[in-house]
Amino acid sequence: MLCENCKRREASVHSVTIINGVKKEHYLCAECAKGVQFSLPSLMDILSGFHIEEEEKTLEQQCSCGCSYSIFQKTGLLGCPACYRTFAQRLTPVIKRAQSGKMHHVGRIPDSIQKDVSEVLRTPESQAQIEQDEGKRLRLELHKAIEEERYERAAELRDRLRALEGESNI
Amino acid sequence: MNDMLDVVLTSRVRLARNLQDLPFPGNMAQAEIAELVQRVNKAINTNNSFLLLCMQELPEAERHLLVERHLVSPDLAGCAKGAALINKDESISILIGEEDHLRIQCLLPGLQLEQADSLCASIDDMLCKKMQFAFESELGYLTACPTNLGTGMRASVMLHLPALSLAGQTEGLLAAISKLGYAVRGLYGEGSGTHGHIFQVSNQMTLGVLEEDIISNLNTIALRIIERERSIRSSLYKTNKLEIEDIVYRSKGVLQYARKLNAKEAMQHISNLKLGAGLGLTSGLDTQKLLNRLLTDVQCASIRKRSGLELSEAQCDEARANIVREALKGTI
Ligand SMILES: [Zn+2]
Ligand SMILES: [Zn+2]
Repeated sequence: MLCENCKRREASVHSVTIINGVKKEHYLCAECAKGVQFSLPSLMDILSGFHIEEEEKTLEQQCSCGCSYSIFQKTGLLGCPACYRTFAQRLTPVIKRAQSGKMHHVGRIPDSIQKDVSEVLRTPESQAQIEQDEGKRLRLELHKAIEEERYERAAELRDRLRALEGESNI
Repeated sequence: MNDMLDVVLTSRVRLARNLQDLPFPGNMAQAEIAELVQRVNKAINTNNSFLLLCMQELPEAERHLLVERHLVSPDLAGCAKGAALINKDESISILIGEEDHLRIQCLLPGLQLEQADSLCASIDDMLCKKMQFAFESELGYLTACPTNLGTGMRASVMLHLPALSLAGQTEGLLAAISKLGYAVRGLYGEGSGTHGHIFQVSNQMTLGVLEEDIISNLNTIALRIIERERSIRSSLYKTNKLEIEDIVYRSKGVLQYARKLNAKEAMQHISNLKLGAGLGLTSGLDTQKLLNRLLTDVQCASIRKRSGLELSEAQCDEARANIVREALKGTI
């Protein structure tokens, strides 16, 4: 069998990837396999659903960095941090698909930003900060409850978390 | 310290970070990337605890070696624009100017995800005091590709699963894991003969999850797989004692006496010997550690680095056999 990438050399590597329960198989030569070995699947699958709708647009919006949405569709990469604002509308469904529906960051934040917020508010613990800490604490507890199979407690925690997140979104 | 070396080869955590005031590397000129490299080097490398390797200045063989040792990604080595900062014991490498401005990564032997995470976090802390990262409260850390948004974290474990493979159970188990939002990659040899039985499990989503959860969930998954792999190993051994011993001791013989070994063969026999070591068929205190290291050392670029960069394929096979024989001498 010929390598499915270069279609020149004999395929010697059979790679199997299972993502979200979907199995993908590739037959590659040793040379091409080096490139894809253990690399993440491309964004192309995720993006492919958005192609048709885009082709109809003739006027191309550009970010100040020179990147356009069609460049992103080709490369899977954005041009600069500001691209996320410039193309926010069209990126939202892409991000949703790539991140299984999640759209809100809950993890660590850079030190510098933490300081900025507290300096502006002149109190070490602003309301937002308290809510965020509370959210973090609830999430940890929820995780623990699920792990220990205490599902009633988990449901209760999930509801409180939802209520908290609902508040901060208003 | 770490008693998972029979199943877990390595644990890796990497964080993607970008500077607020620059376009992403794919959109940067060579000179701008060189400037970025200097900026990062100045910020983190004040007491020269990192070795700065500029891809452009390295011969191709050296770059291959860095990729094989998982210190540098194939992308960075291939584009030859960026650089890597690597610490003395090679546990931490900071890739500069790959897909994102910075990829802080930590690679440790065995199951040590939490340790790898805290090493990454400490580098992240140091850097974010010196430079403004692109961060937005909703989307978190902004990355060139939306698949890395949020935490920018990719955590992975490299697993050696010979028993699950031999029992034909890898696909079912790994498909189940993939439903939990973790991706599984396996590399197989041609046809039915799998070699190495090595699988990588990593988190799929980076946004809307806590770093701690990415790490602890992966850790739990790894522990479950270890448990399963070990129990199948011992039951396989109980029911097929002769066959298993035959496989293990044949491989031991090949590794101890062969004069020529290609990379695939070497991987396969080391894998078999690891299975034997896990079942107590070979004595020796640090056998698993040694065999894990050998899995890397038998790769082509490593061989060429040790034995001469101009080696032909055949000479490489000879050098590989020598290295393996030498390493196993008196230890098993
Ligand atoms: Zn090919
Ligand atoms: Zn832009």
